[in-house]
Amino acid sequence: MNIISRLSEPKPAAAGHTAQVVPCPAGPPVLEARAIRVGLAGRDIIRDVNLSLQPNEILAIIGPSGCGKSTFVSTLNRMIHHTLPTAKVEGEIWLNGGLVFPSSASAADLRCKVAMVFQRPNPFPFSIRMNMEFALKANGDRYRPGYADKIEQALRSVNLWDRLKDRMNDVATRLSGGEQQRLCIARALLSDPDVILFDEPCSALDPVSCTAIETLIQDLKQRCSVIIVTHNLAQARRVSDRCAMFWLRDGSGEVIETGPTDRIMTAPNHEITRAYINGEFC
Amino acid sequence: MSERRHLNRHHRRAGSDRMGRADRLIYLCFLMVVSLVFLTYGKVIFDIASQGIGQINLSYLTDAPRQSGRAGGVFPILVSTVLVLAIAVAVALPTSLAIALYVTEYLAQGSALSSLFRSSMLILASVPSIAFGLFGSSFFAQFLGLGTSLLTGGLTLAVMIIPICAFAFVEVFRLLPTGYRTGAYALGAGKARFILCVMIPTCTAEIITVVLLGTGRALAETAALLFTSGYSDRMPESLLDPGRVLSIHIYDLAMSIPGGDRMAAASAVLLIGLFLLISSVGLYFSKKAHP
Ligand SMILES: Nc1ncnc2c1ncn2[C@@H]1O[C@H](COP(=O)(O)OP(=O)(O)O)[C@@H](O)[C@H]1O
Ligand SMILES: [Mg+2]
Repeated sequence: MNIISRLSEPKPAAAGHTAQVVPCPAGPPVLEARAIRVGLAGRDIIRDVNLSLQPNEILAIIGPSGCGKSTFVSTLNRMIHHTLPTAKVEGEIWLNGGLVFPSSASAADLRCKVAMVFQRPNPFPFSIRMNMEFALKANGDRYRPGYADKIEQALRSVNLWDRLKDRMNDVATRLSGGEQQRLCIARALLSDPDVILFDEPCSALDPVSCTAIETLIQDLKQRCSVIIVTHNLAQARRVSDRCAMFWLRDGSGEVIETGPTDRIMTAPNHEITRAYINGEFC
Repeated sequence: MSERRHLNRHHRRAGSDRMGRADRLIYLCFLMVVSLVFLTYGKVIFDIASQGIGQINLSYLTDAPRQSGRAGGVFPILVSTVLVLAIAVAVALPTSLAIALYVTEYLAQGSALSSLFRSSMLILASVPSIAFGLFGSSFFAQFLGLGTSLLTGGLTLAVMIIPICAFAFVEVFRLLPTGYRTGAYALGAGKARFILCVMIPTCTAEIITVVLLGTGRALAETAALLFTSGYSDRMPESLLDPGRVLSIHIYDLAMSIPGGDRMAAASAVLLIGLFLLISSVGLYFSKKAHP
């Protein structure tokens, strides 16, 4: 009841910068989170988060550690049920105009459409080929003769094909950190997702690999939308179209400001965002 | 000033000297304990081997025992041993895997039921084997009517090692890197696919090691088998026949057959050999699983 009534009101401050020029065509959003609240052990980890994602848009989620950024993105593909099984999630999540949370539809199907790449590269300790085939099978793809082509395409789109085509039987965990992360991105691309969630994809990588990943994320914009959680403001500035600033208020994470990256980085509306951007909390 | 420096240095030297002495003392203690242990085990093995190895030849392995085991071979006993072990592992492996998967993947971590499971596994793992023997003879032999048989013995051993294996499997699965779990689910895999295609394959080496541990425990078992698979040294004709396993053969020769010592030692050598064989096969497979 409570959520419904809150939904029918005009959206609060979080989405209140409609006067600003948005660089993406403002059509129907690919993904929309409405009034998300995550409670854990009697405390709200995040509260009243409203965010939407346009087609072919890169949204950066910025903010200090512990303000619930990871928690928020993990609600978007319901991974939170695995990472925080006791958390209580409220609110609504819409994907391409369909309600995906709360929903009785399978979380697995949702995760094929809303893929996720983690902070630590997490390939399985199998061969590169088996890692890719696992993803295809998990997507429900039963047409084995098509596997080789799809795997090649996915590895090409993360610029790994030329390097790995003769090493497909090598164990994936023996690759370098950057290659592992790109393999994980390729693995996530196999289901042809509408949205890819990146949770600090570069924080375990060296700067060179990091640049490669950033370039890749910008290329991904051609085929899907991206949400990237990052501590690194320079990275947000480089890759994103829009930023959402998370902040901890009374022990709960909230979105205090969203807007085009250029404006957030140069002329933020919120006092805290301005201080954060200028490094005044260091 | 120079005097003070001298004093200082002297002091430090003395200190480091004392540390050196303590280090050496601790090292000597360890060395003593380790050599004592090695000597003890070495003596045990040497005694058994020197008594037993002379008796072992091809006909010992292929003949039936004569004069209650004082002469002849151990062929029917080897057959019974292998059959009882095979039944025990065939039942215990899937059962304990199922228990462990249920506890780690289906029960909420830290829930009351999950900790109840774990503590009861731990308690059951330390129940003396004679208790399982009594249970086996009253439940499998009498209640289910399987009689004193290889099947009863194998099932009793299975019941005995299931808690050990299940507890160990839970620990193995808990140590699985969380990235594998989140990685698989984020790709849209279901629980079954995660378990069958990620969990079991990545833990193969550990699963084999745990099963070997259980097999070793079962191989050495006498108390649980005395009332269940029996001590008839004839060749079993079906799984419902009684049969004598190697450890009971050793026990019988050593305790109740006058002049059976040398043959007991021979069987003990065989038992150790069998265990080494099982272990190396397991090791081979676990090496293959984790190249
Ligand atoms: N496993 C957990 N158990 C209890 N609390 C947790 C757990 N994981 C996260 N939290 C809480 O959720 C808050 C937000 O965490 P997180 O979403 O990881 O923040 P961020 O990604 O912004 O650094 C943290 O302050 C922490 O207190
Ligand atoms: Mg985080």
